[in-house]
Amino acid sequence: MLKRIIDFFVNRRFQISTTVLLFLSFIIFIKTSHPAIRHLEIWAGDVLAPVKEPVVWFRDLMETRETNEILNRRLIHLSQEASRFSSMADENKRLRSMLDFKERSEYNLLSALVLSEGIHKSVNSLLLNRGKKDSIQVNDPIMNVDGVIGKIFFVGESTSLAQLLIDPNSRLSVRIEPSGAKGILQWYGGNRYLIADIPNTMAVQPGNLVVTSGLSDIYPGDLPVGVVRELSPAPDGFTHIVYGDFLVNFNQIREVFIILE
Amino acid sequence: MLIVLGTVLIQFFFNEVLDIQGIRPDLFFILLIYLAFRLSATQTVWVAFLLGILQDILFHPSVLGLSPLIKTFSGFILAQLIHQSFLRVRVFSTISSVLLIFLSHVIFNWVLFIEMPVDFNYVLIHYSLPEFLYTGGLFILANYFISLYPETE
Repeated sequence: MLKRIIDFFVNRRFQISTTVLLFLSFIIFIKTSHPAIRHLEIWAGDVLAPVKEPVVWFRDLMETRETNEILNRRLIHLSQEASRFSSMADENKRLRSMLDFKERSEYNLLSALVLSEGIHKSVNSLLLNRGKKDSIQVNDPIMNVDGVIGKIFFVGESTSLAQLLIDPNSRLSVRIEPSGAKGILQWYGGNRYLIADIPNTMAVQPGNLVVTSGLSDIYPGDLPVGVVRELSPAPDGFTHIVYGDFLVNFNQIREVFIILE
Repeated sequence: MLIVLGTVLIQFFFNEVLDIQGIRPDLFFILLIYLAFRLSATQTVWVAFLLGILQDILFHPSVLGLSPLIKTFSGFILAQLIHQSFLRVRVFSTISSVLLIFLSHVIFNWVLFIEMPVDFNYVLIHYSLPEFLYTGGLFILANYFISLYPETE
């Protein structure tokens, strides 16, 4: 009897292996948010980070000259803007003090290198070289000079995983300036997003800036996100669907800034 | 063994170098096809599963499980097809492998976008096709130098 069972498994090992592995893959896929799976991912990140960091460092070294040129140009542009804003800030401060407003605080930013991106364009998470030892916490927002990129969704000892805004599961509470219309932004493929349920009464135009609303517990307000490109009437007849482009070029993220609490 | 190690190292360390406008080739799939023609059927599905797990852990942990699912299924199809006599003709084996690469990319992106308000044609044209063309192109190039069937190298 036992021999027959063994013979059965041996003779059909290909079919049995295939079935077991497919079932296991399916279970792992649907349980991807399970803590055990997350720990496995972060463990792999912690192990691979010391190996990958020198490669990333070397790659960045090769791109230094080009990056310097871009940064110098941006610096000149920002210096000009800064001197213009300086006088505006003085006037703003004077008016605020007249109204007895408190001073706003600066963000506490920590830079992080991107160690790994995906193979597939459609899967969008980043492995960063910062973790618990750098005081990183889950849901810390990440951004670069162009705008919001995403948030931390799992933290290891020396690495962390970040979910990008261009992830099918990502949602962001935003505000469209100057109308103040608020909505939930979701990725729409490529570098595009959509914001549904914007009332027809709100004066939203192509070219309007989209920023974080500040209503979320995760993202501070007024962080740049994207630009409106077009509006489309929703089937209900009372609202619009706003389509736009992200300000960040998600194809070329090498370094990010993590906003610490 | 060297080819396996080399592929993993290239994919892991030079992923960004291989990038063209955000499109990167799936070298693990090309490796799987070559190994399928050199291993037994059972070994093929196990290798497919392990390559898929490794790929997801290294590159897209947020969807851990999807790559092993697709690669295991692809390994199963490869193992079934390999012993068909018509695949001994180089053209047919190449075409079958390229079709499998195409199917895997289509299914991968379709699953990811399934809950999004995005048209299937958009996903096909902007994601599946570019990735398939890059991976398929590299496979055809590699196949020009290295035959799929080991005895014809």
